[in-house]
Amino acid sequence: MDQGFYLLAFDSTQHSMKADKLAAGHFRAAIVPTPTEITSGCGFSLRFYEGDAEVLLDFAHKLPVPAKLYHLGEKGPDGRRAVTTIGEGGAG
Amino acid sequence: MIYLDNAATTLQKPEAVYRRVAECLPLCANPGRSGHRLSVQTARAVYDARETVAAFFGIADAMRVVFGLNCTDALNLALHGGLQSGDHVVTTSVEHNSVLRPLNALALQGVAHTIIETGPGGTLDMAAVAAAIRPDTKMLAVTHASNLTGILNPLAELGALCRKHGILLLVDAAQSAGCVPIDVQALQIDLLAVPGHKALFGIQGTGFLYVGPRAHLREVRQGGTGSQSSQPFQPDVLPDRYESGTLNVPGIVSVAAGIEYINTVGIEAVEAHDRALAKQMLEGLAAIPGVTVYGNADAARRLPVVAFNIAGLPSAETATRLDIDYDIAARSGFHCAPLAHRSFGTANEGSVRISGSWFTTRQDVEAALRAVEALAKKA
Ligand SMILES: Cc1ncc(COP(=O)(O)O)c(C=O)c1O
Repeated sequence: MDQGFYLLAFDSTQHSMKADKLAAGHFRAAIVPTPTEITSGCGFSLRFYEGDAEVLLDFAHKLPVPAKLYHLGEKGPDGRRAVTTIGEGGAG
Repeated sequence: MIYLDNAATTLQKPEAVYRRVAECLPLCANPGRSGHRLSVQTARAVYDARETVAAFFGIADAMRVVFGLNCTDALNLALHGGLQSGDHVVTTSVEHNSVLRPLNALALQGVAHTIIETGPGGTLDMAAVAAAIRPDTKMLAVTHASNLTGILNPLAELGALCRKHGILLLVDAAQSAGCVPIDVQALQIDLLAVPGHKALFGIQGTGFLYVGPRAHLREVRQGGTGSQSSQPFQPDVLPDRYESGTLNVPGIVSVAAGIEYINTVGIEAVEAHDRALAKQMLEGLAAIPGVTVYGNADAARRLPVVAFNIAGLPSAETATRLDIDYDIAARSGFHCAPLAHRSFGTANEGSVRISGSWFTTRQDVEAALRAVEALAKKA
């Protein structure tokens, strides 16, 4: 069953590139188009395929760029996911 | 052909630059807009280039590298974005029109400026710079090296002076970037304007501005950034605030490839090579009867950029003869530096300029010297 996923959103696509580089080798993650459920930030987000809230928030805190960690829940009947803000990190 | 117009644009680039541009071109999706894999890959290429540029100039935060069209574009952002009515700027008589014209336009909007005159020697009097700083001075806008004489200004001293007075230091590194080491932190540079297409060996249509943490610039353009897209106003975040619209990705990649090449050969090797070329040009030209070389002759502080005239031969004619009869590309006229020409007494006549690069050989310069000698004999 689709459990949803964690995702980091950024202020700039160039910030997402930096975070993607830093995540490489530590997490299974990929840059994806920012889901429309998230209305702020830039067009690229870093979607995680592993890691729990605590570990990912810790990663976010250590980033040199501002980033917001979200959990996107199971898809609702309209196909959209419920968004939970987990926290903010980085040099915001 | 012997190409001695490198101060305008370097013609010969490292092989890796051509290769990287060719590799990049068919894969250049829109960087950072679309989210498909090619778009992400293109955004990553831009990001990697940003890091390469940042590391080369001692810039701690790569997001403070703002890519633009050329050095002129970077200077316009620094000047129009950083100054407003009531501000005062100190600048010098050896500046390029890409500094002088924005300052003249800003003067109409209430931004005053003082020009420090170097005189015919072309060297900057530090005491005069210090004396020109007033309570309303916001910025010192200075070229690192003159595009007429190649004379390098003492950036470390200028940086210290600016910090002491709490004003911003804007450096036009059009001629020096890629020729001598520049570390924005060590030199206390707040704004560094750099072209990609000169000594960094990038292709044309490239340049960037480093925007230091003490500089707070208004953006001079608004538009799409791929971020905060629902917001009606330009985002504050760097680099997006200053990078609206689709970037020149092949160009940006070419600049990174050029910098990587310089890192491979070593900037110290480039510096030593340039110093030798400058010495050869200056001494060689000075030894030819009928030739006047402009600016202080101390080669240790000059890049291989030399302006001269042959008595009795207009500068445009000298350049044409060099081109047609000797297959040597040089530049005549005013070199977009009208005040420097005024200082040299060449405001009406202009001069001929020869300028070398890492790829210029001693033989190239020797051939140019012999050609100038032959022309001077006939004149
Ligand atoms: C000293 C100086 N400043 C600025 C520029 C402008 O550079 P660009 O042609 O990249 O705008 C030049 C080059 O022509 C230059 O020599």
